[in-house]
Amino acid sequence: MSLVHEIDFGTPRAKSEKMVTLTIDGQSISVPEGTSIMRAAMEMGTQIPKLCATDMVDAFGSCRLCLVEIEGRAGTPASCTTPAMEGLVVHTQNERLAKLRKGVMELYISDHPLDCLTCAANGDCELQDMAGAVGLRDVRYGYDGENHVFAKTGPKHTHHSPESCENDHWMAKDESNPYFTYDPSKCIVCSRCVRACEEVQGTFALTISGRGFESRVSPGMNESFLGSEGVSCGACVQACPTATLTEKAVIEIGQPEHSKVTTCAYCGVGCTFKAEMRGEELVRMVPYKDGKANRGHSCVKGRFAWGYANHKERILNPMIREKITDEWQEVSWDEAFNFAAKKFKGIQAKYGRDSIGGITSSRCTNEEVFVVQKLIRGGFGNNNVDTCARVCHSPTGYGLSTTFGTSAGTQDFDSVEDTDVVMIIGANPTDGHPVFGSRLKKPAPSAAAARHQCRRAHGAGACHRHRRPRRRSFHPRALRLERVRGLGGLRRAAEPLAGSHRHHDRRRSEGAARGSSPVRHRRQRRDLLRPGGHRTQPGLDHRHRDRQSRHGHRQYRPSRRRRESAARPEQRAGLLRHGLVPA
Amino acid sequence: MSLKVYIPCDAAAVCVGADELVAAFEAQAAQRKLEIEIVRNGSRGLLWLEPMVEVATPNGRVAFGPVEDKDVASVLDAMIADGPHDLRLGIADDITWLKKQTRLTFVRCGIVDPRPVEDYVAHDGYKGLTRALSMDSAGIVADVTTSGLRGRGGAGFPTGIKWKTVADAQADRKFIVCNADEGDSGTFADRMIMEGDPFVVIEGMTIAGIAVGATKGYIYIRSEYPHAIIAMEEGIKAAKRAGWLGDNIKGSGRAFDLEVRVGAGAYVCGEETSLLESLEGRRGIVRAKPPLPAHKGLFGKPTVINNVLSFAAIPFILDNGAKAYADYGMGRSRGTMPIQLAGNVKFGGLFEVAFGITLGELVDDIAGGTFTGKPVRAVQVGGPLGAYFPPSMFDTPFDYEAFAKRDGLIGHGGITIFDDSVDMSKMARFAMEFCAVESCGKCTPCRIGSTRGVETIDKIRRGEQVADNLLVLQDLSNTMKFGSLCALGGFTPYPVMSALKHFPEDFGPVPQVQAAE
Repeated sequence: MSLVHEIDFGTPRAKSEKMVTLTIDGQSISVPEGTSIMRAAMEMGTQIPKLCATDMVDAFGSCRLCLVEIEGRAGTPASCTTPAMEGLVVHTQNERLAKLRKGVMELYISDHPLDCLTCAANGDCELQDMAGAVGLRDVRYGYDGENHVFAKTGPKHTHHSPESCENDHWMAKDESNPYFTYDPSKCIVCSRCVRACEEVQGTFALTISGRGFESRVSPGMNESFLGSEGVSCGACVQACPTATLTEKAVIEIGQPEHSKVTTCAYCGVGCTFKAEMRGEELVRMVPYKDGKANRGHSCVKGRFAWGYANHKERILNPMIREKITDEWQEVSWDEAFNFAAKKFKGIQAKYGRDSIGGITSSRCTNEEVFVVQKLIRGGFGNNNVDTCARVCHSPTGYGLSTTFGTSAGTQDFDSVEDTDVVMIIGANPTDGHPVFGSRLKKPAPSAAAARHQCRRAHGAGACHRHRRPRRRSFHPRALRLERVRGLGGLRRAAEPLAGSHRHHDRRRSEGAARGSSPVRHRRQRRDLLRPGGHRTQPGLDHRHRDRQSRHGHRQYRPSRRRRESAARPEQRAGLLRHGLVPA
Repeated sequence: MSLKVYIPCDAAAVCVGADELVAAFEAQAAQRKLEIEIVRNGSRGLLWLEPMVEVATPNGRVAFGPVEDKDVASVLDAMIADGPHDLRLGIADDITWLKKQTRLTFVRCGIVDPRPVEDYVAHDGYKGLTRALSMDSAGIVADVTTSGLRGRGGAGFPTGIKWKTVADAQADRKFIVCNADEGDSGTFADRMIMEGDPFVVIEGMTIAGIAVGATKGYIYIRSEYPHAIIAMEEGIKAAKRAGWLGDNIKGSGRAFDLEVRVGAGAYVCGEETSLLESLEGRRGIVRAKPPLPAHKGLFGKPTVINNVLSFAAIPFILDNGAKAYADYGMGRSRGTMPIQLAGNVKFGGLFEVAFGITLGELVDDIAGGTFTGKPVRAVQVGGPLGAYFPPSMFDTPFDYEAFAKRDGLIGHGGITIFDDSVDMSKMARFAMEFCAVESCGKCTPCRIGSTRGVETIDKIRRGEQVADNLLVLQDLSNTMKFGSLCALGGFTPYPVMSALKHFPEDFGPVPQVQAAE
């Protein structure tokens, strides 16, 4: 077992269906139009050196390490911001590029602490990796110049030297956040944290303050990280290539050595994490990029607040008692099971088979829910099982099953990226399901103005997000939140969004607003209740009610995002080279 | 008797007392019970003669300059009597320095009263727009392309191609942005034309709007140009009142509106994408290209962003035809360039002339050499990021390609002259220091490189491992030139390397070299 290593392609995946073919280092590769040269190279297995690029956020073009040469074009463009085009011939490595990259690294290291061996990022630092990748051998500028590294400046930087004085550029470590530290002396101003907070999380808590050499990451005007608008989602820590933003656990324990992919138990989103450990000790939880619900993002709960697992007050052994006034008695598992089973059976004998039941939670994993209902149906012998979703989801469940034929989710999380209008009813995503809330807020690439926050959609409300302004521009405002009253109000709010577009869009929205009136809906429901189900909806009877419907569903719009695992040949070659796929 | 006297309101003239002159003239006139009308015109551009006061006579306008408070009484006497005076320059239009020029863009500057649109129209103003309103988009763009006009901000990109890209782009709205963040030291042409002839810029932007399908334009003026800001704001209001801006320009059914936005003290916001970021209310950092502003510019929409002088050249082209403009110039540099002569200069000012004139003719003949009278040692063309040329290169013709071939650049047309007391390693250090101060901080070669450049040149000047550090400086220049995200870091090596190449004797321990002040 070892650490699960995910490839960072440098820039996000392009969504175009059109492919272009270009040549990189003599090899031909086809990629979707809009893919950066950096990503195309990475898919081919060639790692162009990079520091400011990461595939969780859009290309920025600031580190200037990823320069390449393109035949027929002057200069040395950055491969992260240059889109692949048909027929391009690219060279990623030659003497000229090597010299430029060394020159850039030399500048980086001239303003960086040289404490690699005792640094928390030792072994997991992209700056280290790049210095090695470009072959940096010396920093001819020396270390006596202006810097952000030393608290005092002057000859030999000794605190005791009479000529040394305060270094105005230096900033002390910010250890206010309980989960991670910010060490400005190690910052390379790649802006990945700022961009992650904007593009991945949507909180906009970070910025760069100061101009030029004075640029430093700032969590606000004069606040600390803890006092800022940040929500400790960890996106900035995840994005940071150096030790500037590091988990305190890593500082205390050291680098993890193996990881397991697992699901967060905190809420219904079910983010996938890599639990990175050293031996039996959990070092940190890192969001998994291939997680279909979270796609590499996390919130504070799953990312950092897992301390409960090892909390000293956590109950580790079963306890029983006869009466509520009795003391708890710690017993063995067998004795506890026997006790509980005997008691349940006793109640059933006395009051009847239907006298006991069980409730699960929508925050449990599917496997846990399955086991509970199995116990009740198979063990208790009755059907008295339900989930807490009944309480909040009943009205929507009724509405959905009447309209679509099922109250279960009809879409995957990725589909929110292709959505023009999102209607939120009875949910508070930014609080209750923060990772999905962030994906909801993620702006369309072409709408620079669509960066408003969608907060606190209480009760029934409508939230419109302006996607793809060139297509189906419903209205110019990027994000609008309205409280509506009653079905009539909902219909009036939805009407301008349906507008003059496709006829059945209008009918669908009117149908949803009016309730189930067309005959079609009733017929659908009857089909639902018949065993065997509708011909095109296999298995849609009550036993499989909660499964996602994927086949032949009228309203289902297939996600445009391709799965990482369905690799194209060139991609597969790249995955092979990185040992991610068995040969 | 009544006199019509012209006293410039241009900021350069104000700096040397033009506003006080107005008061003095009025006081003197009152004393003599003389009727006097004072027109605040723009500057004619002969800055060594400012404040240059003119009086209208039947033979034309007679100029006097430079006029100080103590001269007002005698000058007024000479005006009344149409008699001689030490400061009398003769008929303004006949001044040799003016006659040698080819003023296509600055034709009205200094002549008209910049405030009323009527004066502008009376001097051939808005003829270009009138013609453009009768043309279609493709026709206007074709005219601009055929004229050979290239961006006067510095990049020299063919304006017609830029406009065509925006015209062809599909979007629900488009914008016209005027880059009036004239940050290069020693340049003042944008300021002069905004203060002296604001309507030519407004007209040029309006024509652009009609050509590409944009109905809104912004003029981004640097905060350090308060007079220009007021002049443009007043000009926009006046144009609106007269129907030359608004929802229905002169009944044509075409709409265009303009707004002035003010910068906040960042040289880097003269870089087009950084300017757009600033206009959008964000930090003024440079955007990566692609995408070009012509495709995704202001607020993500297709945007024409051009320099003040580029827009100011448009009305002439539309009025007189593309060929009339293209007939001037040489090679691929067509039309005229408003050259700004500054620095240690005898006759400094605005000299608009066709491309092709040699650097030597400009420096020695037109500018008259140095102010101090000492020999010219170096000339920097193109602003603080331009290369230094020694007199041995004075045969270089003013042409984009000719300068590029000699590792120089024309830039915005600023020429700064230095005499033989200049310390070229100090000037190289200044270039790096300028870059360090003005760097937006986004890309590494500029953000860190400029600071290290200053330190390296300091080491050279202290005599520390000079040969090694010269090599380091060259490598750093290479990294900045090819690695930087924009031209701030990318062009800083031009002054540094040209100083090193043409004046290597200055790059050693400093004590024996006298620093130029």
